[in-house]
Amino acid sequence: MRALVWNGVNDLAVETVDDPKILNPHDVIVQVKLTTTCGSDLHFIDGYIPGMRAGDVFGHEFMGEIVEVGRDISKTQVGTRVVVPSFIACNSCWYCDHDLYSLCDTTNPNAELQRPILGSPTAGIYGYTHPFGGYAGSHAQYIRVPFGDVNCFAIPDFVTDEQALFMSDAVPTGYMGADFCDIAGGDTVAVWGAGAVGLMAARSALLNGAGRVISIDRIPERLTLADQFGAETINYEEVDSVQEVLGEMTGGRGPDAVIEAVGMEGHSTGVQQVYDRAKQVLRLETDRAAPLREAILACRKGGVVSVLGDYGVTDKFPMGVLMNKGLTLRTAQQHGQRYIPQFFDYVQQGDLDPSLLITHDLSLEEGVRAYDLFKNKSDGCIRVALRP
Amino acid sequence: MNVVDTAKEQVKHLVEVVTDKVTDAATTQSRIQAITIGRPRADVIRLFQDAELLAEVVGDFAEVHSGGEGRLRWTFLFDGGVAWDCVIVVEDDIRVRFVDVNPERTAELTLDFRDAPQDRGTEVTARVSSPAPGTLTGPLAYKMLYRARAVLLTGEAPTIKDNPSARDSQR
Repeated sequence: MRALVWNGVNDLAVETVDDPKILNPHDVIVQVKLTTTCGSDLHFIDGYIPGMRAGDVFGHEFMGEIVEVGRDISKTQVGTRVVVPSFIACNSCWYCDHDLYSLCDTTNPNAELQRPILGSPTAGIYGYTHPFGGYAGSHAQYIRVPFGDVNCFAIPDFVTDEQALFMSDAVPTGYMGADFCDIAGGDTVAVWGAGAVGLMAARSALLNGAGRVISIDRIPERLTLADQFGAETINYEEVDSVQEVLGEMTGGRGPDAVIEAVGMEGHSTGVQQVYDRAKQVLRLETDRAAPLREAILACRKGGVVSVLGDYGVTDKFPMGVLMNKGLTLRTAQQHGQRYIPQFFDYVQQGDLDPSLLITHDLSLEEGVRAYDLFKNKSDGCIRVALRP
Repeated sequence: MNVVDTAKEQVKHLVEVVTDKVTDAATTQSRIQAITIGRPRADVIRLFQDAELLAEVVGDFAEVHSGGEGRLRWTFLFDGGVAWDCVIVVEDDIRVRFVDVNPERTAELTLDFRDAPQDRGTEVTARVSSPAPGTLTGPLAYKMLYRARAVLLTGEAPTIKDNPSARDSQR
């Protein structure tokens, strides 16, 4: 089959690789119909997250059609159109029993590699480094999905492929970020980052009862899309101080909750950006965490800081601000299996249309170009949908 | 090379050294490993006495065969296929020991079992005596416990054997 592979830092190629096989009795094989670029991929493409091996097929956000099932599959049927969350759950362990699917205790084949880094291993994920399991990713014609009955969600007819695609990761990640905020009716929520996850967090905050959502970014087309999803916007390159603007918008209280949807390669302005970039280049820190610091500073006293961005080793994390303001910090990799069924309802009711995130629709053969567009945010790129 | 480049190279070298040490520590040190398995103690103890189930548990890195009543032969799939013959010693319902058949060698894997609080199943603690079998320490002991939990909870162990890749790199 054809697949987009990682051959080294900033070295991608579309190559021919072996087809996946059923390896365990609960496996299924999915023919990928759509797969998409994700900002977290950029971290290992740029070399900030280790653990990839030359030739790895990557990609973790996808939908497709079941073409083969293992002997112990009981619900999932060949021919079913499905969306699959990026983290792999077993639905049999303590964490899955508590809807904490990305913390699944049984699906990481390389748990012993990840444990020294994290203390306890996470679930496995498709196409995202060997400590995270080493599973082959979705930027391919076919993908093996473990525990097919747990991880494959049949897509209703009224949901299009393009809408379902983002229910694999961007929508549940954003939705979980809003869920973490414990939004009381009418709350104000500020969201740093208007990429796909940030936009879905903004939309989800409104769906969860926020009275006001404020998206913060610098890319005009992203802010325009945030506006379409119902958020007010701040272009941080056009204001002297985001803190001042938020203070003015909230009567000096600050947002009731803040959502950080940027991650380790954040952008900011001024001296802080220069400082973080220099330390990152020298590998003295892996993260440029200016948006995270800013979000913590902006949040009202006693509020919630919801972190969705990927981080490695963060420098100058403002623990004192968190403590003295009595903030609650909540974060996780996404627990998609918990949320996906309700997304179908939102789409049917006309409350959610994730397909608006697609700015480019390309063949898998154009995968390298897709990541160039995506990484450089050129040509108004927010997300590329790849068709194998 | 200017001063900045020199400093950058030096820092990169330092990071590589530290990374190597962490990696080395993760692959060679012998440690006590502990894990909680959401199954009753009897089920967990039974798995560690069953050569067929154990073979599935350690299948990514060793083969296990019954070596007769109460005996097992482990053959590790690296270092040229090192073999280890051991006797299974069950002490009540709290401990299983895999003891080298040769009394002059001290190689031993001890598994202690106790009920976990809050109905969370069974706590399993693995202690590996060194030097032999040296490869069954640290990460491998943890991998064995992790996969044992997976087999007991789901009926299968996670694997990426035969994972599609564009290279013949070790999976």
